[in-house]
Amino acid sequence: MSKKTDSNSYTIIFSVGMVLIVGSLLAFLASYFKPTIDENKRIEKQQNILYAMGVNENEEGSVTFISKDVVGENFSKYITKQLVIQGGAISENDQAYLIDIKKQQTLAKEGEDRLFPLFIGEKDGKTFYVAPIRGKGLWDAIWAYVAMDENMVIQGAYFDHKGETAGLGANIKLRFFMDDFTGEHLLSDGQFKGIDVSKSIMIQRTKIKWIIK
Amino acid sequence: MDNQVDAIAGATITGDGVSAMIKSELRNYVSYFKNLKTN
Repeated sequence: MSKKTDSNSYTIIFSVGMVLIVGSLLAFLASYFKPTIDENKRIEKQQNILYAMGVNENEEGSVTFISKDVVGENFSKYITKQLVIQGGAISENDQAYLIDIKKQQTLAKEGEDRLFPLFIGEKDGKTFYVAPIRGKGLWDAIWAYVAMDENMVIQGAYFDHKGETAGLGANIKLRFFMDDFTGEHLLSDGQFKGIDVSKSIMIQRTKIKWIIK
Repeated sequence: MDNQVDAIAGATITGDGVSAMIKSELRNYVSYFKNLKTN
């Protein structure tokens, strides 16, 4: 004797019902939590910017942002100006830190003038210029907040990624990599040169370690 | 100091991505900094 649940129509109706119920539930949860997610992203951006200019709670070897509870007041305290550069024009915008760099890069690809945010901070009598940047790693997006002085010498940086390999590329967000950028000059004889992540240095240092041993 | 930092072993492409990201993005801020000096 065949059961009602054995029929093809039952399976199809059940599948459609499950898709509708689960889909609706996920859509509801996504819209319900959207304000919380957006708020967390906003806080994270503030923490990243402050981290790059040295406002953090790092202990030896750790990467520790300042607490969510105090990030807002510290952001207002340390970030004195938020600028937006667009096609040579510079304007102030106190929401510049919310500018989506990914969207701006897409606009640039479409031939439009994109926005370049720059955050100016003051700490211990020193002025920091923090720029948010975004690029491509091995698997997915990588991004950073780079704090510079007026000579484009790097004063601190925070790197992050979406899906780099754990233990390898994902290590760009560890202190030993990020701290290495501090003191590096982006300009050479007045011309922009950038920074090379160089294997040759690593190989030379490994050889020296072997020779010392 | 020498425009170079240590690569991460086993992460050549990610490291190249970091170099490319710095070069392509931070280049756009050079004119701002040059103006900062002249003003």
